Amino acid sequence: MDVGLYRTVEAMRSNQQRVEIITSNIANADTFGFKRMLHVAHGVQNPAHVQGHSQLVTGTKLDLQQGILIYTGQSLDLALDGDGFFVVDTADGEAMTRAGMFQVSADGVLTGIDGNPVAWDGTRGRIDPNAGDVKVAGNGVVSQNGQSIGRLRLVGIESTNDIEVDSGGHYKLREGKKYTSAEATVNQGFLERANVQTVDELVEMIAAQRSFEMASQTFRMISESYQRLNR
Amino acid sequence: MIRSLYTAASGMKAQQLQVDTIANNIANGNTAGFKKSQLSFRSLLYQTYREPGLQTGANQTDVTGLQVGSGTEVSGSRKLMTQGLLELTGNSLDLAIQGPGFFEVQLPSGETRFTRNGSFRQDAEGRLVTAEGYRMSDGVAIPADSLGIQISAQGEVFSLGPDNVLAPAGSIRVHTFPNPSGLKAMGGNYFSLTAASGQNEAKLAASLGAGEVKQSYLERSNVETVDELVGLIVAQRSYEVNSRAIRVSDEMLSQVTQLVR
Repeated sequence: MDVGLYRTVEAMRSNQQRVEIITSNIANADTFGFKRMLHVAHGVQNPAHVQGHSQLVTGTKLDLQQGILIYTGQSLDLALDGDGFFVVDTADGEAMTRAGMFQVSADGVLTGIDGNPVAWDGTRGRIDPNAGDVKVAGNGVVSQNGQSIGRLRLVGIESTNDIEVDSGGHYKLREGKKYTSAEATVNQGFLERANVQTVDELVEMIAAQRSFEMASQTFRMISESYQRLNR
Repeated sequence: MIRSLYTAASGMKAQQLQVDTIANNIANGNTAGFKKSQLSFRSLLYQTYREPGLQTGANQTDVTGLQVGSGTEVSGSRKLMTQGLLELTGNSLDLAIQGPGFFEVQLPSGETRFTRNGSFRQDAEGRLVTAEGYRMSDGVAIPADSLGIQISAQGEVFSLGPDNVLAPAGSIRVHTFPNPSGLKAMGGNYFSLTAASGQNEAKLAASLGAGEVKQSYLERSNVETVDELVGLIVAQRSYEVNSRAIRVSDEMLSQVTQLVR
């Protein structure tokens, strides 16, 4: 009999998490290279439960859809078009990122805006910070004054479930998962905007709010019917 | 639920700073040599509620995990060192740099500053100074009896003497940085070097990696008012959407409190 009450609580919790996910997307609508999270809820048959009652499981799925590229004209702003990531070396290991707002440190190392060095294919190329004119080709080959320096490391992934999101726009491979080859072109002088569509998020948010309302109304109805029973 | 309140608040704070930055850019739309600032944001910590692989049945696992982000923060601001439009002023001591680099000036305290605002004048001793009276570090001095000044693209200064002969009067160096976006804006259109910008390198103007000196030109600011206005509108709407998210979270919370009557 009390199964209904628990179900409505599950529904409320799920929609609450849905709002949290949407809010995080909205807050990052101006974060370069940001990828939105999708809320996925589905019922699963749990053998521990009474037949016919499924348990609601809430999950998230990274939406890796391409973001819009905007022109900045900065030679070290790099945007990826297609499936793939840049790789940066962080304090706790390798991470992938789509935020290509790079800079050159005084000793010639290409780093992200947070100072983490960008990974190259093979040996790390050194960009002479005072020699000017850096060109980055679509395949990630970097050259300075016509001289090739090396190639930026680009990686791909098999499925969005293979990676987890870290802070600062970094993504990490989950244990036991492997990189595949990237299928992306590098666009120099561009940055990739977040793939968040505010309108979609607002609609989602209202839908979540109403679902939450319905669940809470149902909760009240059930609990009131208990009250009548007890009278 | 409380989480999304803070998440949305982080978004509002970020947009507030965005508006501040844009307002400063617009206010300096007519400042010679001004370089606009751009904020960049990054996502905050993601909380992993659940890893993928939850056992949902005898031989059934869930492939999705549950990760919720906690908002955004400003990761930094950078100066966009793109070229501003060069405007002909006709004043022989107005200098602009076309390409990368800065003029170096010395404060009375002996500290050095860098600027792209080349609106120079002469002091009583004939030295080139900025509008504030800071001397150019290159020590170019124009003789008192000079009839005119010519400055080449390489930054060499020539003074036209009373005998109608051009005599060299020093040269102006262009200072470049490994990472000019890392310079610290000190107000008054001056920059100072930081660990992020790296050491300055005095270069001959128009040499490899250094811009050329244009006499009688001033560099306008690189602010495009239209772009800034669009940015302002976007920031305002983002702010609204974030505040809307706060309202929704609040309404949902109030529903929770009404669950049991």
